[in-house]
Amino acid sequence: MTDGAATAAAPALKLGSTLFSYTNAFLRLDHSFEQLLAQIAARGLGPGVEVIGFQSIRGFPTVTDEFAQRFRELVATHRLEPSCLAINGDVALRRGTRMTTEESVAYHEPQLRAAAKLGFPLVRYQFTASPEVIRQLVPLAERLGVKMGLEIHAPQGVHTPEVLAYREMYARVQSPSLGFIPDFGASARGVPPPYLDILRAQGTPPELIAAALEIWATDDQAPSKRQRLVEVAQGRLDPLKLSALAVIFNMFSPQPAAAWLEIMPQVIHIHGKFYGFDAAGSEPCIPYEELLPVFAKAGFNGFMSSEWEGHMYSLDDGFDMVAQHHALCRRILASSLLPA
Amino acid sequence: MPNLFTEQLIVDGSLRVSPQGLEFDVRLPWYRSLPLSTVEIGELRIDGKAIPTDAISLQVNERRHGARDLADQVEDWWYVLDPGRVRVLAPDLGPSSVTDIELAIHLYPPYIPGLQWVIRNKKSLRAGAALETT
Repeated sequence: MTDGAATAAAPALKLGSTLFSYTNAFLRLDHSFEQLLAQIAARGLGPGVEVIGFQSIRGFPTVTDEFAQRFRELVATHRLEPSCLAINGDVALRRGTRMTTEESVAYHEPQLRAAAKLGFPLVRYQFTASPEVIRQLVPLAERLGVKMGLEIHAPQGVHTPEVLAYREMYARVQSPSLGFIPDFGASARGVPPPYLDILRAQGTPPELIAAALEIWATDDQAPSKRQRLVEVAQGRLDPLKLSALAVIFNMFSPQPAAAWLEIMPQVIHIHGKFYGFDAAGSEPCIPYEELLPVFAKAGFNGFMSSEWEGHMYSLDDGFDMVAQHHALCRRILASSLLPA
Repeated sequence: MPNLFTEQLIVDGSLRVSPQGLEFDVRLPWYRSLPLSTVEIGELRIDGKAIPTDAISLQVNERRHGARDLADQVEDWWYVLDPGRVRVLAPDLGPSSVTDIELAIHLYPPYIPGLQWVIRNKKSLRAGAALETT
């Protein structure tokens, strides 16, 4: 990962890619899974590689011996490192119903085994896996040597009631298998312009977008933000457009960078969410200049997967976007380690 | 707003016609595989004419399901790279070289309970290979 001479000063936080960033290249059939790994290596967008089981692997959570062996060969050949397997809490497999705790535990078990079989040190899990489901999975995770990290995605933050429930369970169980995965969309300083473009293209009036942005920047929780927007809109927006506008409260939220310090010892991985860059190469909506030094100075030494969600609004294959993100992060990490 | 989910929803060059109706391919408009129970054919118009749900079926893997039965297919997964084959039984469509297809797919991502996600597109497809009647 480093070229010898720089090792002593190398930042401990390690960069990488999630294959989610290259969703367009994959779905367009431009790049197979193997070709994506080769591209990541060729363009220096590793060394960490995060895989979404239900995206990359046919038949997941079943992983054949052949697939596992081939994957291990590929990461060795390309000098990549499996960083995280993203797993899913598909509790509503049947529309309008929810799995029981027992069913949900059973649904997660093979996904944990898949992570171990593929050589991933940890999995990303979602809020749909309740604290009780995760608690019951701890013995298996410990036996497999796989850590489980809750992705703290907007609109959640370290103090929201949902996250506090996991923190309380973690404090009771005290297992090295339990951790958190901050998603930097939960530390946004603004709503990404491409999303505002979508709203404008849908015909949402500019004054309502402006009102929504004002509400967005407050400290309120997402449901109250939504309620305030409903009051401001006063029936001027049809329900579909109103929902599309209110989605910004759920996709991005403005938690200060330093708030992550409170759970820092339990942070096992990061989703480096980003949307675009200004002329200076900075992310206008996610304050990487504030976020990365918080993690680097706290000694976080895991991986951050560069996560571009551009397939929602762009046809770009994602490779250049991740390259720009890595350049930005390297620059910040290098300067954050200089003596003050 | 360009988006591959929308652009690839109706697969170019996939139209096959027969005296009984027509068939075309669709791609799952999501970033990951989903069970068919979370996929709904919201609306289908052929040459501007609304097609009744009972006349529509979808095949992924080896099995074909009536559009109305998709909600029960918890075990049948749609791998994200595989095309699904939509079949429309509509003998009165009449032969035409170009067919307008307007399709809305509703997704219910199983890890986001309560969310309905709508993807819609309209394309004009030229009939290619004849539909094999099996």
